[in-house]
Amino acid sequence: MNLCEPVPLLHGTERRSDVTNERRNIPLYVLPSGAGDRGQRTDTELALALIAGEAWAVPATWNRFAPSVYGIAHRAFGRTTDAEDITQEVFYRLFARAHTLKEPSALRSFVVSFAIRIVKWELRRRRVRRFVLLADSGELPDATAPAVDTESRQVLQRFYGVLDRLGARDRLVFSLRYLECMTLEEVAAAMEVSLSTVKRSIAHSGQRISAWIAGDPDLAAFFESRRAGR
Amino acid sequence: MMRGEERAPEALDGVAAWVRDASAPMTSAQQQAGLQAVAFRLEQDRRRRARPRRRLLVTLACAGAVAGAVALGVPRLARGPAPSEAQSLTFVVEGGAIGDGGYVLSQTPVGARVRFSEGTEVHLLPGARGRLGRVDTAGARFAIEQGAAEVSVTPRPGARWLVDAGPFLITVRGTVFTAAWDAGGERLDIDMKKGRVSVTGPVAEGEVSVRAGQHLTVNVPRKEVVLRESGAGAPPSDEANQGGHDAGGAPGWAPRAPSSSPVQALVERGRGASTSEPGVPGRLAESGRSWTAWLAAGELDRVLADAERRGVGAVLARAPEIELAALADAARYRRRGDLARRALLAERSRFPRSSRARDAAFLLGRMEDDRSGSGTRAIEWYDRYLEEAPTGAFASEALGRKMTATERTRGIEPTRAVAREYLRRFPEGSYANAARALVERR
Repeated sequence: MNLCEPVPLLHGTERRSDVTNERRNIPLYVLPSGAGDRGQRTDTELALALIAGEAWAVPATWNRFAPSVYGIAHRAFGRTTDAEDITQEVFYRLFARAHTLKEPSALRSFVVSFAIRIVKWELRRRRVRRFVLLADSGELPDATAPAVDTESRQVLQRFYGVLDRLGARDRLVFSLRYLECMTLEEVAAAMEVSLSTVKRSIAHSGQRISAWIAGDPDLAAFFESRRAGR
Repeated sequence: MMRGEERAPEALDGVAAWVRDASAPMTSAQQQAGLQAVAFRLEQDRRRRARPRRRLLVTLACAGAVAGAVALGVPRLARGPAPSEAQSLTFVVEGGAIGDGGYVLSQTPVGARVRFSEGTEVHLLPGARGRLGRVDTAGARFAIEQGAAEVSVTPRPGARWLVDAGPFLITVRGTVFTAAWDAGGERLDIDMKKGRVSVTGPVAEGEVSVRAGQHLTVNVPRKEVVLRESGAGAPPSDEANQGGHDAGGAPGWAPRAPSSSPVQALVERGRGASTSEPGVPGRLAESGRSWTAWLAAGELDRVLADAERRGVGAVLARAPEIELAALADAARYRRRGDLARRALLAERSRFPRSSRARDAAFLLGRMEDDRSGSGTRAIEWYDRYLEEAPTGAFASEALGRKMTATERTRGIEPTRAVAREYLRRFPEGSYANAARALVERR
């Protein structure tokens, strides 16, 4: 059973299907209510406007892609404040470098690549800081989802504590593959590494995470009970 | 370890699925706050980029280290930000959202505010819809699609702010006013609090100047232009009495009564306005006021009377261009089409290279447009204007009007080409929706 259906995150230029959105509960497009499809631009039109420096393109790009980027960052770090900071950082750099976009039709890929690069950089930075200063992440991630109950919040904290033990690259590969539901090829493209490297990383991190979860009685019991309940 | 390998694919899928479900989506409040934070950082950057150049110049002057200046300073100077990037205004939207194409929708009971970095503010009142178009170094262009907006433009040298209200274009410098466009009733209302704006659009025929304390109402279906002093009090309105007109929620927004004549430009002089009667002796130089000043004050009859006193033929042959333009405007507002046409043609023949002469082509087109059966002549004038001033202030309206005139006189097929051209050049223009409808019509 593979719950993670491949999603053309990097290669699609138009909106994903509603089914996918519903399943993931991530609003990929945020339009003002009542606006409907009025004036809805394609990614290409949006990119051209961004390159041309048209002011409306900034909020429009933000509205279209920020929720996706936020989702990636949130699932990668497990912390709301981190996700907000990363999302702002991604778009700040994106808008500052919009003129370097060579393929307007690939705006979504451009945004996602930016997001992944910054997430990777931030993961590395934190790991180094943790290693050198023994600080910054002595604590586990805070509440990730106000909607979930206390037990779930604690489980999420422990789960991200497990992820913290992975190296930056392995963690991001795991996150893209399992949490973002990317195909192996998409992960390789996004990470700018070979397919075989991704496969090795997945196998390696999968084994380690599984072992760590199994070694944590609370986590193991929680997921076991959910599996049994399903 | 073995246990981990055995669990890996399926168990991890289940764990990951649970983590995905537990992950909270971005809220609209986070979106709003995030966008403002990014906009703020971009603006800070823009200002920082502008500063090093000044600092560098000071450094160069003080240090006198030529070699160092060449090594460090010149590359930085050469790398200076592109003008448009460095000086373009930024903005934030409060109490609303902005979407594709600059579409602004208020989401709070008090409406949405678009605040620009140099202090200008556009407040879309509750229920109003608008669209933010171009934003550049000099200002921005904002379209009121329905309802009322309070506009407060910060005075700056070289500022250029444009407000579209339906088919009307309001050109603004430092000023405070409220504009309302009722799309259903095709009615424009402008209430000036401070400064002055000029309005162009249908019925008004060219530029109508509205100054502080005046209220302009243009009713398109009735072809009425009513300019009055705000303090003069509005006559009772049928629509107001019936309570059937809503200009988009502007407080105290009462529609003005139509004049008795179906086609009439009515200027009501208020308490502070001049009471000079037509034909009062005295040359312009003696009176100390030019025709343009009289025009700005709404003293249209005075301009016309003075022209007649001096001799219309002599004025058309010898008056400076600015007076010809003022005479044409006064004549148009007073619906004296023949005199307006003669003045505009005189402008074109005597000052063929001037910008006013180019604008005169557009105005002549509009005048032809309003005459029944003159669509072909109107199109010729619009074409002439578009050829002479392809990026002129009236280019969008000229092409839009050409489109409607073409449809009226030549049918749908030739019109589609004009509509496509319009959409290509002015995708956010006042006639864009009409153009799209024409292109899509079968």
